[in-house]
Amino acid sequence: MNNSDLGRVQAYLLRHRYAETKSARHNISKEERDVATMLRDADASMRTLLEEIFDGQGLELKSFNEFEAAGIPIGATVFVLARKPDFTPPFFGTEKLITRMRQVRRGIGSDAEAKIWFTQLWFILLDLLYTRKSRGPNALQDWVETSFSKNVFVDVVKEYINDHVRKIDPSTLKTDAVYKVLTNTELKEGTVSQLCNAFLELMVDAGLLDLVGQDSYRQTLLFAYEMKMNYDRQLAKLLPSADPYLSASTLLIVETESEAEER
Amino acid sequence: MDYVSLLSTTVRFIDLHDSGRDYGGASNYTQETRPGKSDGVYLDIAILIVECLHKLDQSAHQDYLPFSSILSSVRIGYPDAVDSDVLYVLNVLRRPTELFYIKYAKNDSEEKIRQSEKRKTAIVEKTDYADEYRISASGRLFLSLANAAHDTAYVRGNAYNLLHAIEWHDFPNILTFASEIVGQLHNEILDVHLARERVGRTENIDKYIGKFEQYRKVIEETITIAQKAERQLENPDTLEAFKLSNIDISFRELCGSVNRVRQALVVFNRLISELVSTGLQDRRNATLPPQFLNAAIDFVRNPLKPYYEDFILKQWGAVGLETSFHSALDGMATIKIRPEPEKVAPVIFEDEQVEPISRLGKLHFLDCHGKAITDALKLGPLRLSEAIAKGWFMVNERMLLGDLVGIFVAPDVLSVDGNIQIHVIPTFNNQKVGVDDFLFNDIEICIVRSVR
Repeated sequence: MNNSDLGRVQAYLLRHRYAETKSARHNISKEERDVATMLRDADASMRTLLEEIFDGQGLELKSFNEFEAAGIPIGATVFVLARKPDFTPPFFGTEKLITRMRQVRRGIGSDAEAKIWFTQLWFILLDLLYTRKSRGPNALQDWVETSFSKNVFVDVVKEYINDHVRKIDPSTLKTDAVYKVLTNTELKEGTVSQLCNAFLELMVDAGLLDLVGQDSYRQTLLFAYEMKMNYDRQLAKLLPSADPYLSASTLLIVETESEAEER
Repeated sequence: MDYVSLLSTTVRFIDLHDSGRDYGGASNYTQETRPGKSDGVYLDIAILIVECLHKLDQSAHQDYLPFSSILSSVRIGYPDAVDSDVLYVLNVLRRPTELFYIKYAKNDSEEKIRQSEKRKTAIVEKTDYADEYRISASGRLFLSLANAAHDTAYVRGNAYNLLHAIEWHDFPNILTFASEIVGQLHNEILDVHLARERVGRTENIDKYIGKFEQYRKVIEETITIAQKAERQLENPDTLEAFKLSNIDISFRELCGSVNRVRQALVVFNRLISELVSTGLQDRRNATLPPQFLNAAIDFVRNPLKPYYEDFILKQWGAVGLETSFHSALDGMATIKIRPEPEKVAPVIFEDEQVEPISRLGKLHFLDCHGKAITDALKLGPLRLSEAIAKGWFMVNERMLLGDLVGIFVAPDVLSVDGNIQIHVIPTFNNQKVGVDDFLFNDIEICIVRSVR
């Protein structure tokens, strides 16, 4: 890999954040294969140089082979460009995210509303991918088992709004900014679907979700890796603290095999 | 004997074989019933019988055992066993069942052939006229499958198989053995990764902690064998033998497959060491998966400050490059330019060109043979076959047979007085000219003059 190749690889990874030499699930473009192959065959000094450049940009270049993660074809290498926990890459922005979310008509009236919707949908997605599957944030290998259909996601979002958000008494809230956005009366039947669509589209574009079939999505290895590496340092601190007695009592209850099957 | 694994891995296939579902029917169709006593006694008796017959088979190959001996063996485990029960199990074990399955034709893989197999399902065989039994070939296969070593602790044996295959230049089996070892290790490696991510101690960790020394020793020895196999593969004799073989892979690919065995072993060795050290120190604490939905609701009640919201979006959200990279090719094909349609020039016939072409074709022919044909025609009817026989189709060593035929079908070009009549002779004419055969219906032309 020469300096020109180095630039090509860097540009590709900054845009797509994911490159694999071969894939069992979908066709990969010639550019992606070229980039991944160049990276795989690069000599150690060039690879270190690239890693140092990314490191300075707040990113980590991580590679996986078939022995390091499930779902990787024999002889293939997958490269992911993950965000480091201590500082966010300065050139990554939310401009595209806000623009796309605001394209949903009658749903979002301002940038702030777009951000609220995205954040809420993101937590609901995490609930689907982690909490409902009893999967810890450090579980990387389970990424292959995270497929879900768009309908399921839309139903979970609707269920969340109807069964949780709408049941909150607005008079008990210190500020109803988020509540108002989620329970906006102008939201039509199809608006939630459109918002979910926009959200999923953005996640696929950012390399965090993979479109594995028609209307069927799966967490990418990049998403699972970022979660594993950054959760404890970054996200855990922002979440409300769980009830310690609840977690202790849940741990004491061991789910039997028959109960698991029934579920 | 781990016959339960074998039973549990085959039972789904039996269900599918017996399925009465119509093609195109409901996908949730189910017919599965597991009637019976649900106590496993008959199965246990069957295994006792198979083991007892197997012992005999090992000491006196293919010999039969009387029913009384089988019964006494079973009665060690089941003192109250009745003759009829044991006989029933024996009858079931020796019953042939017809199994239907599809095989692909060897030469053409598209062609599916339905096959059936009856005798091979019998585990036990009985003599025709006495109450004596022995284990069948299927029974022996059952035992070897049930006893197959699936644990990585036995990987050393597989590595020896690989080494021997290289020593004997058995190239197809080198690939088979190498991929078997790598496949087995691959699954165990991913299981170890999974075990490390799981909360609390798991069965997997306990297995490796319990047999750690055994695993370590086996893996280290197997790595040595794999290194030996790699050296053996680099031997010039092996390369020479490979060149003579007609196997459809490259030598590099073969070396790669053997090399992958050592790589997998090294990874596995490192991982179980890490797993065991983590497990022994009990560093991992059981924690529940975070309640993300509760977090979402909490953020409805207590909205995030804009700084934290931006932080979450940038650190975790679907962010992209703020400014896209621009390239000279960005605008390519964005604006479609419709090309001016090419004007097609009207066809113009030029007389100067028509004349020489005529001269080249018909007139050349007429110059050469026109007079002779006219003279012959004046004498009486003239047939095409006669003209061919006289060689009137040759002009300056060029064969202009088409022109000759042209004269016969359009004889007006001949300068004769009176009308010319054309007759097509209905019979088929076969004429030999040189080495060629001409097959045609003869044409006859003659001058018709009116008689006053």
